[in-house]
Amino acid sequence: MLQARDIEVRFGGLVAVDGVGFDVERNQIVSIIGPNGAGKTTLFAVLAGFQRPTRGTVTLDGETLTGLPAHQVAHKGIARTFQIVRPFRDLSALDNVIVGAYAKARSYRAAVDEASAVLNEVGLYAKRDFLAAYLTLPDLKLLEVAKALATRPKYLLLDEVMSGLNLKEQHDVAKMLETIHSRGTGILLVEHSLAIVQRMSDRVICLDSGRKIAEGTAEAVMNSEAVQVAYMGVDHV
Amino acid sequence: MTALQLAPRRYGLLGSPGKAIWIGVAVVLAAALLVPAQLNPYYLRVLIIGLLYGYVSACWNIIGGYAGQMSLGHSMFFGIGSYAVAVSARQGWDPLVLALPAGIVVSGMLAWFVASICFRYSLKGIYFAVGTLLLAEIVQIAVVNSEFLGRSQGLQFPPRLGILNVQFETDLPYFYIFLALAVLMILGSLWLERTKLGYDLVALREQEEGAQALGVDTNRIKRIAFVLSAMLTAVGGFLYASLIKFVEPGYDLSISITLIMIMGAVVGGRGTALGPFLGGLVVVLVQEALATAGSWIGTTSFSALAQMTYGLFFVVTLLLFPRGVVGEWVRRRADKRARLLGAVEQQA
Repeated sequence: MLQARDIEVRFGGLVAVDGVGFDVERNQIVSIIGPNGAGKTTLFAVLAGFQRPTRGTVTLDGETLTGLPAHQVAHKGIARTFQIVRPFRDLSALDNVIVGAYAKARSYRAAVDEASAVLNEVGLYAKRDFLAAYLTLPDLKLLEVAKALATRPKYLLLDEVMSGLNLKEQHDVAKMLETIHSRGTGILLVEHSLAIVQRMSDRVICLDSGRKIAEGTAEAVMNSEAVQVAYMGVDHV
Repeated sequence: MTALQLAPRRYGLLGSPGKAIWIGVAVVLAAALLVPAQLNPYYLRVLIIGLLYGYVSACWNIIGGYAGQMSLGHSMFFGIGSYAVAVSARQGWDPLVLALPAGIVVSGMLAWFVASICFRYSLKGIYFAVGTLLLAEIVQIAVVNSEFLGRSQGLQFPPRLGILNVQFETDLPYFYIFLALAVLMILGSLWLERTKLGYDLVALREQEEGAQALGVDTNRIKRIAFVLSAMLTAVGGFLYASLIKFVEPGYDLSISITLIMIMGAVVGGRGTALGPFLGGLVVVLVQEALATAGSWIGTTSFSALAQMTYGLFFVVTLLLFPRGVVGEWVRRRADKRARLLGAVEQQA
C-alpha cells in the first residue's frame, strides 16, 4: 500500500500542498483531479522523491520513502511520468525504454527484450527506431509510460498522459492502462479528462489550492458541492 | 494489442555492425603492415600524435560526450600522467613503467575528489565547466611555482631505453602501442554503449530528471565517468612524456591540451566510439598543415594567422557537421531507418 500522510509543501510563503493524505492499494486506480495550480503535480513530485515535503510522510508497504532521493524511490517500485515530457531526445524510442528496463535487467539482451515487450504493450513498437526527437507529443506521452513501465514498478504515477489525445485515443490508452493494472500495478492518475477519470477510477481525490476537498467514487466527488465550486466558482453552482 | 513481433536483433558485443567491423579490421591491419615500410619519420610522428590526440579525445568523450558533462580541466589529468614519467625518471625509479600506475592512481584520486565536490553540490553545465577549468589553472600555477617540478621551464630527463621503461630508439613501437590503445578504446566504447552504465550516462546527458525517475543515480555515474575518464587520460599523458622525454606546464598542463581533446571529440562526434579518433587525426593534420604553410611564408611558429585559420576550420566543420562527422553519420542512418519504417507502415 502506498500511503501519504499529512503532506505539506511550502515554497517560501506559498503553500503548494497543504496537509494532504490518502492511500492507494495495488489493486486500485486512484485519480487526482483539481483545477490548474491545485498542487497535483507537486504532490506527484513528493511521492516520487523529486520534492522533499516540508511536513508529512510517504510510505510504501510500511517503509518510509520520505527523504529518499528520486532514483532510490524508483528502485523501491514507484515510477512516475512527467506532465512536461522528458524524453531522451537523441535516443531511439527503444533505447529510451531500455534505460528504464536496465533498472532491473541484468544483460543487454534482457533489457532489449523487456523494452521491446513494453513498447509493444503501449503501442509504440512500430516506432521503436524513431528518435524521440521526432515523435509527436501524444507518442511522447506514451513513451513516458513505456519508460516508467519498463522499470517494473509496483505503482505507476501518471501525470496527464492523455492530454492532447482525442476521446477515442484516450479510451485506447485507458484500455492499455487497465490491462497493465490488471497484472498488479497500482495506478495513480492525474487527469483532466473527466470521462477517463470516470471510466478508470476506483476512487477520486479532488485537490484545490493544495487541500483535499473531496474523496470518494467518481460520481460522488464530481457531484459534491465543494468540487463544483472549485471548478466553476460559487455563482454557477 | 497486436501480437508481439520481434524483429531479429543481434545481441553480440558489437551489435550488428555488418561490414563496418571488417572495414575496421582492414584499416588497422593495413596501418600496422604498411606504416613501418612507407612512412618517413616525420609522418610517422604526426600519425602517432594524431592517435594520441584521438585517444585523449576518446577519454574526454566518456565524461564530455556520453555523459554530457563539459569538463574543461582534463589537462590536469594528462599532466599528472606526463609529470609522473618525468619525476620518476629524475628520482631514478626502475623500471619507469612504474610511473604509469602511479599516474593513474593519483589522477583517479584527484578526479574522485573533484567529482565528489562538484557533483555533491550539483555543479552543472557551465558551472561544472568553469569549476574544472579553474582547478586545472590552479594545478598549472602550482606546478609553475614548484622548484621540484621544474617551474615554468618544465623537466627534462635522459632517455632510458627498454620495454619496461616504455622508451624506444625509434618511434615505431609507440605507433603500435597507440594503435593497440586505439583499438581497445574503440571496442571499449562500443561495449560501454550497450551496458547499463552507458545507457545511464546518455540518459543523464539527455535528461537528468528523466533519468533519475528511472532509477539512475546520476551523481554516482557522473563520478564514475569522471574518474574513469581521468585515469585513462593519465595513460595518454604517460605515453606522451615517454615519447617526447620532456614535460612543461605550458603544454602538458595548459588549456590547449584540453581544447585538443574537446576539439577532437566534437569534430569527430561527441558520444560516439569512432568520432574522437577521427577528430584527433583531423586536429593534428590541420595543425601540421598550417605549420607547414606557415613555414612557406617565413614563420615556423604556430602564428596568429595559422591560429585564425585553425579556428575558422573548426567553425566551418561544426557548421557542416553540428554533431561531428561520425555523429552526423549515425544520425542519418537512424533517420533512414526511421523513414523506411514509416514508409512500410503507411503501405500496411
